[in-house]
Amino acid sequence: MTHKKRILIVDDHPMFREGLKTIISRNTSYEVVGEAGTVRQCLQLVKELKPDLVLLDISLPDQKGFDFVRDIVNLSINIRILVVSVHSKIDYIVRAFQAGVNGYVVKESAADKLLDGISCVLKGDYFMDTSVSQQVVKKLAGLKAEEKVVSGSDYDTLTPREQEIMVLLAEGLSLKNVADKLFISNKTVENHRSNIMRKLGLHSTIELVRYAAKIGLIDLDNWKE
Amino acid sequence: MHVDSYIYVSKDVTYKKRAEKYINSFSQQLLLAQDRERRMISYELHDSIAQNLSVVKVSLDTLFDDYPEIPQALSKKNKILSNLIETTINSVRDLSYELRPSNLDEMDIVKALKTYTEDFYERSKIKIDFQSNGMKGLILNSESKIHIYRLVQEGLRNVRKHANASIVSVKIVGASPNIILNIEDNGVGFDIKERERKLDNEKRLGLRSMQERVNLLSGFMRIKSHLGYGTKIFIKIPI
Repeated sequence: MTHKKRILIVDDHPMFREGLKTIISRNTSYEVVGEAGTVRQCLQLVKELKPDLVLLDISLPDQKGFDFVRDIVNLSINIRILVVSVHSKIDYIVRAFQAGVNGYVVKESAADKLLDGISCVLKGDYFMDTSVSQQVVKKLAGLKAEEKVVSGSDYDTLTPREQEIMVLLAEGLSLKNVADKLFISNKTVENHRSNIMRKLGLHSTIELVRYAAKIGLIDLDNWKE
Repeated sequence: MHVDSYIYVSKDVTYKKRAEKYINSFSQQLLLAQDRERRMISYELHDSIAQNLSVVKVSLDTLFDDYPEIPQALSKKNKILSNLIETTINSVRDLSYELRPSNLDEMDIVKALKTYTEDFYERSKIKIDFQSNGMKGLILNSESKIHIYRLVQEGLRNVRKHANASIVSVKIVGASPNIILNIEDNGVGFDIKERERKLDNEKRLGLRSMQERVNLLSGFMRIKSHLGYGTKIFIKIPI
């Protein structure tokens, strides 16, 4: 006879723990060996009971964040962790996986998804609730395009001073006006200007103005007035 | 010309200046207090009400586990209630997030805005082009982050409510010593003067609260709109 998989439930709502226990009892190959309502109790029980799996609500009264997930893993190297949380935002889910959990189920789908999640995670796979997996996949699919659009532009390589000078030049100020405004020499402004042009791959003031308008640095309509 | 007398007129504006300063500081405190309250309500909604509703849902979902002979009508009613609770949890969670994302303090503002614009698209189906430049390495304090976040939130809320737009672009640019924010839509636009007159009568917020926030940050905001040609909002705020 194969031994039952031993589960520890960690959630600060006793009634929710009751609900989880009822769901788990639908499968006779699992047994709940302990319950905890705080991180402190959780770590103590992991150490004492060495469960195969922890069902974990991350929002616990004595700790915020995900740091203690590593503490659980350090106590019991082969332990599997399935988060059961009320949070459904992608950043939260990503952070949970980065911290070392193996699966994620949102609380309201526990009755339908929990047993699938437990089985999957105990096999050594990762599990994600279908109600959140769609947004995660969408995010991953758009990641490459997003990186290109949202960040990593050449503009990011400009120093704060170069940014400042770029705005003034794009607003139509002459080198001398910029120099006077910033109390620096014409030569210094010229040096900054050529650095800006080189970094952004621009060759004329018109290109600089166009670039500034494109990224939202200036409003071209203003020039018409 | 020979001058043998003159009249000297002066007005002490110290009180006026002092009053302006006082009003400015008071408004700033009001905005911060409003944000603290929103944070508290958002936290209660998410970590108390949504949590408790989850407990109710899991209890309903497992209510008849030990009673296999339960009448089908009862089981069906239970399912309907459970679905209703699930819809309510989602609404509570959305409302909590709309009031204030719980992780804004730890998050970088660009990521927070990116997530917000994605959610905005999911809810409104108005396409969003979100771009950020020159924001890497900028360390903003919590207050600045929340002000920027609220400006974008308010700007997009206006687009959703009034613009009838199909696309909106949000651009945020680090332009030392300022941050520049552009929100532009392709909607129906409006007559700015007419709108201002109406707003004064109706005491409605929206663009006015954005202007108020920008003023408090000693920033600058320009709105451009023409009927049928969309709306552009350009904001410059000191870092």
